[in-house]
Amino acid sequence: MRRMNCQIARREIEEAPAGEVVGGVVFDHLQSCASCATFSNEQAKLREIIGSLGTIEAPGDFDFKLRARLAGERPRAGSSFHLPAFAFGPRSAAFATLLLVFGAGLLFVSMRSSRDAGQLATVRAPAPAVEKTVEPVARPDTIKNTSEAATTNDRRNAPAATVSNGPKSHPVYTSTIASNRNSNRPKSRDLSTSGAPVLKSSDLNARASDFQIRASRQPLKVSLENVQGGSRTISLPAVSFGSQRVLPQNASLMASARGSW
Amino acid sequence: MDTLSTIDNLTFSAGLRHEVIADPTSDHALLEATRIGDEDAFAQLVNRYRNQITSYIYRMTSDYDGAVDLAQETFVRVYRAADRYQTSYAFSTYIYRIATNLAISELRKRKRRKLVSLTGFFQSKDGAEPQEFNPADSKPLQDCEMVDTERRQAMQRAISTLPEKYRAPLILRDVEGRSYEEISRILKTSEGTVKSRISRARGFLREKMRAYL
Repeated sequence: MRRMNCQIARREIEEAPAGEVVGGVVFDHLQSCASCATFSNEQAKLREIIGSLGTIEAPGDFDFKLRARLAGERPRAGSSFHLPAFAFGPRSAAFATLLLVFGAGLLFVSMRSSRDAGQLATVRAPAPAVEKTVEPVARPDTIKNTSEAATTNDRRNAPAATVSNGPKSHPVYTSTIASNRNSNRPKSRDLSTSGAPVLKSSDLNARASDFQIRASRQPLKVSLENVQGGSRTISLPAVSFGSQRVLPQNASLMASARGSW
Repeated sequence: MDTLSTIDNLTFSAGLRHEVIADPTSDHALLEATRIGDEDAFAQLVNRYRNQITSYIYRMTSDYDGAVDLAQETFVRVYRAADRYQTSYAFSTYIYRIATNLAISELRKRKRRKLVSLTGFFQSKDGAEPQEFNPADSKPLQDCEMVDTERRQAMQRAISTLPEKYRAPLILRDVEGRSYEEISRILKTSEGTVKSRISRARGFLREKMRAYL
């Protein structure tokens, strides 16, 4: 019972307005309960201190600064127009502009990606041994460059090649691979090539003769690049033609002591 | 908190509402005039509440310059929402609610910035929010005026260490002198909760201000 009275008394003391003296049953309880009396005194002093904090005044230029702030809030004449449902303002226009720029940027990037994918360099494998018809050797000075292309595979697989006539006695084959790089993406060009010359038996002498095919001693390097800009370089060993002997059709092939045909 | 939500138990009767607006100096009348573009009416409202709002926010945040800024923001928001204001509840409730929201937001921002006090932190007994360690001052008292000043400063420091949910109702009750009913409207909580939080807050302060009691 005593505890319950203390709880009720303390609650009454807490909820009483500041400066108001509690009366009635609570007052009687405080006369008999030292603990609650102490609580009541402390409570009163505490609330007195809190109440003494008072009101802090706003600075003298409060109104001026507030007006300046509100002036920035009000829409300027002519800077916006109103639709029945809502109004456009500078912020909406800026937001719409941002959206437009963003959308245009996305469109540009996607268009560029599709264009570059179409122009991606096709990988050209190194030329396999070109299939040539082995025919009797022709006189070097009568060898003709024909426009007859090699097989379709050869054209597709052969490196870009040009044929130039070097010294009159020997046709010279050079091979090049061209690649262009622009500032953003590497590109490769498919250089057209002329077909490999065909040696016909009618062009060759009856007796075997030697002719040289010169080729670069440097390894052939093919650079492959993808749309993401990554690249891989394939290095192919140099093909040494050396000096070859064209044999007549009925000649038997025998390996020499050095293992060369 | 939704600053523009209506409070059902604050609806005025039709006659009383007419009387409230008919009085040109009432808060509602001034805000009504502001809505139709009367800037002088808004200036009167500002003069009426600027000290109270600034002081209230200062007691909440213990930062005078920040309190001035937030008080201005409070009035800016009142101005912006003037055409949506409903006279079904008291203007003081409305403006104090805005001010409370801004003050609490500021306190939470500070918490996120993790401002570290050199005196450190300790956890309260009931697992509530961490409070700054602020031991009771046991130095001997000297001149009365200095004592009063020191006591008020100590009290302000003690209040600033209270968790925000206890700080607002205590200040509204013991500093601003608001009723429990009005405090419950401002904070959008029940009267029982308000009383409980005020009791808790006083308990904290009693411990911290032991030397002055």
